[in-house]
Amino acid sequence: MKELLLLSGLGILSLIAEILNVRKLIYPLVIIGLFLNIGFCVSDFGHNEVIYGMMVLDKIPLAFTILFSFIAILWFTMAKNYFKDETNLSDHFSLVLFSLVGVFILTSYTHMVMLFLGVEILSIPVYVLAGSDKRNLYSNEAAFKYFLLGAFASGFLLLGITFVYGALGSFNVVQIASSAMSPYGISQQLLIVGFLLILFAMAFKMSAVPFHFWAPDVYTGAPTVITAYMSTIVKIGAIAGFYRLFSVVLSFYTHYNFVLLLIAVLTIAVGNIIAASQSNVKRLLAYSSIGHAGFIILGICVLSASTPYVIWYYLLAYSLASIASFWVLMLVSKQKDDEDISAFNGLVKRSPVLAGTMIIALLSMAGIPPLAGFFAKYFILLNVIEKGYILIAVIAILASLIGVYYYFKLIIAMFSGTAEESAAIEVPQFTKLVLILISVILIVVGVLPDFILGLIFR
Amino acid sequence: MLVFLLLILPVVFVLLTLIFSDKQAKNIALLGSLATLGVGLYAFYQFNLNPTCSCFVYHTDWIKALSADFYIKVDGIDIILVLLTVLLVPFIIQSTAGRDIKNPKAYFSLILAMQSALLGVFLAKDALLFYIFWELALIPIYLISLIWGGEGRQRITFKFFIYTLFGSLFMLLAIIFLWIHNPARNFNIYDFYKVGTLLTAQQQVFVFIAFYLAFAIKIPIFPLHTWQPDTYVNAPTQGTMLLSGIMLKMGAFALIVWLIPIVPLGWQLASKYVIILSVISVVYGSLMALTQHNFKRMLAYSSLGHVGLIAAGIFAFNLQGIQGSLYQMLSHGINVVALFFVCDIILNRMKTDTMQKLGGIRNVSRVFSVLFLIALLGSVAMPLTNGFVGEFLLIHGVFQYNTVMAVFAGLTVILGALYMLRAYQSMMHGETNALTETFGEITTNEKIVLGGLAVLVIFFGLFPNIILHVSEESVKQLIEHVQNAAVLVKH
Repeated sequence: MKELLLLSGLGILSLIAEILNVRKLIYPLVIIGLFLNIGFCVSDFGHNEVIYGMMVLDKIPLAFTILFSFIAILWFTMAKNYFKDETNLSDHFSLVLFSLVGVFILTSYTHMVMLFLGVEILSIPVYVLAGSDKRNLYSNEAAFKYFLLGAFASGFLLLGITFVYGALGSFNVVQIASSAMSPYGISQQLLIVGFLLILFAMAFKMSAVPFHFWAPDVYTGAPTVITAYMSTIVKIGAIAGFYRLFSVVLSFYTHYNFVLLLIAVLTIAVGNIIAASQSNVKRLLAYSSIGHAGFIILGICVLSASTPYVIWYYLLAYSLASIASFWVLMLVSKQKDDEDISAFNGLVKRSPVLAGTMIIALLSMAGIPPLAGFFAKYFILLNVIEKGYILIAVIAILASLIGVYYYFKLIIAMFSGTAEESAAIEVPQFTKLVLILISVILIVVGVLPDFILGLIFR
Repeated sequence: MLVFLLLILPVVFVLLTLIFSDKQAKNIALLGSLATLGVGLYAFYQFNLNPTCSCFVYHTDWIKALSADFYIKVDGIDIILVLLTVLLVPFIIQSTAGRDIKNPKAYFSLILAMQSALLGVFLAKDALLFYIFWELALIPIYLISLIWGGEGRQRITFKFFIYTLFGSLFMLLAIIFLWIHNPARNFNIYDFYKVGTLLTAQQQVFVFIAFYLAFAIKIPIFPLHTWQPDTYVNAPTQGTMLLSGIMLKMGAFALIVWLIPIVPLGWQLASKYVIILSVISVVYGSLMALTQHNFKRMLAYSSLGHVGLIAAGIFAFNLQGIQGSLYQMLSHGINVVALFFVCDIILNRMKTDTMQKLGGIRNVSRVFSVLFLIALLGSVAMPLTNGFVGEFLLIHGVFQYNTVMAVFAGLTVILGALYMLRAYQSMMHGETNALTETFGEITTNEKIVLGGLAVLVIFFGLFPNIILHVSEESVKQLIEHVQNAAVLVKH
């Protein structure tokens, strides 16, 4: 409960800070608050707190909360410099903090209404944030597109929840799961349609193929800082919510499993194949993030006892690499106002720290050992092969080979380029320090996966 | 602990190289490689006295969830590859003396990192650890070729990287597959050997193909070799030396230790096809070498032919074949590094390695021509040089398997002599022309490096037993295991 209060309180606090005209205090307060949140989660471990029958804080939600709080700390550090010149720093920060509340609810709900609330609380601030670059036409387009399509998805979700309620008479996920086991007196049609609608809505939120069409445009149009937020924390929320739904309810039905497996394979394949043909780095990263979402969905499909750890680990590896790469992209593209791959030409000479971080982040996303991304993919492939889906494993492997292709396009660009292009990029010392920290974490997490998982899940 | 020291010493010197200035980089790296050489030679000596010493094993938990261990161990087979690695790296580093290298700190630390990863590949006895080192070895060499390579390096290194990664991903698939079918649920190589007897013929063939892809690309074996000539020619000299001298031995070594003993039945079913491919490699590589005008490109193709023979000997999987392949890996490493250094000396002075444009260098530089000749004779398997022992054993091994194959495999010696001597003739003999007049005598440093390698060529030609004796016991055990296991599956 205190995590929920803390996050909402932080959001309100940052609004008040605007009124009281103490904007300088917002950033330290938020960071302290988020660290406090991590502390709360750590101290709550093993308590299994139930909040009014609506949410349960057991091990897995707490682990996901630690993860997204940590990523949020990095994100706020990244955003601090971006919003430095703008007057509306506190609006943005409070919107993000409120959407964190939504993420928190998604990690821990046990009630279908909370699922809907979580999705909405998460999404609505992000619709606004996507359009926060008011004078940019693409940013407006992104917000509008995201809002329209997102509203449809929310509608589907609500409709699905109602259908399921109509069939089973319950909103509680555990009850839904247990009553769906007994086939007597239940309208199967209603149930199937209901679950499919929920599945599609969640697939939309996770930007899974074929519900992914919004993602590249929105990711490209939104300011880079917001894109980083969407591709990390929003994704963690959507996936944590989906994992909860699937692990409790949907895994009882093998036919949903097939649909989901299909979605996963399509997402991996389409995301990576289209990313390979992109020349805009932001768009490339957007498509690659679709591919990663596919990998995680695949990990959820082959549910086993280790799945929560596997997904958690994948999300950690992916989010760290993703936030690092968007951060570097933001700094690089600011210099020339260009997001093309050619903007990265000669980066190794222009800023070794940025280039080094970017290379480690990309290598990790490409799944090159011993970086974190390798074990993330490895754990998932292990579960996939264990279930006997060797063909799917081969497809996933070939798709990640395509991933290597486009990540290396970027890496090669950093090493190429002529001398006159090499205008050094000014990077604040603190930013450098944080980027190096992210790189180190990516290596440590990769070399000692046991250590990290043991630290969180004990 | 000795074995751990072997692995960690280059890493320590990577850090030292990065700390000190650019001027000192080469010396520190050389010191590091010499220290590693010392440890390696001591390990080799110790192994002769007491192969079961506990200092040759380092075993600790790594990822408990998967029961993957950090398990490295010296045995009779990998000690030879370790010897090769520690012997060559000092020469490779010293070969940069007097050359202008941009950003030397990065260059030498990458070479040392590469050495550590290579040693890891040879020493790892845990499949996941092996895989990690295998991939880790790829990154330094990729960066070396990408940053310090020649014209068109981006495209060429990219092809190389994607090619090798493609193969290794299938190896990963096979490793996971074996892990799942392993009752002990670990990555221990000795448990993997037992898994082999539990798999059906079809599963064994699947694992065989997946591993074969990874290893055959690395070696490379026809038709998966297309990355090789361009990469060799394009990489900086030290990169080429690492690639051809040590890195391709990773593939051959893995065939002996990680492929055939794990799926003996898969090997039995597939051996005739893979031997044919290896022999095609031999003939193709040698014929292509004959048609080349550039010395470096010719060496790249000749390397393809030589390793084809090594692979053929391994797939025959008898005592002579394996012993020969191990010996030839060592010899080929030494010879090819010497020859690429010769090429570097010529390129550095003449700015071209087109053989027709050169001639009469012998008249200008006597020492150079003698040392070049020794390295060359080693490569064409002249008796009393190291190449002879290896190739003789290899052809003997293949002969036991199939006579026709042995005849074609033997072509490598004949054709090798043909193109090598022809190259020597056109570059060293004849009239000195306007270009080669400026060649001059080679520097002391170059004499040391080339001379040292030439001494090794003759030394290993005269005393092959030092090596063969060490590996014999392990090889016999391995062959016995494969024969027993293959019989077990059948019944």
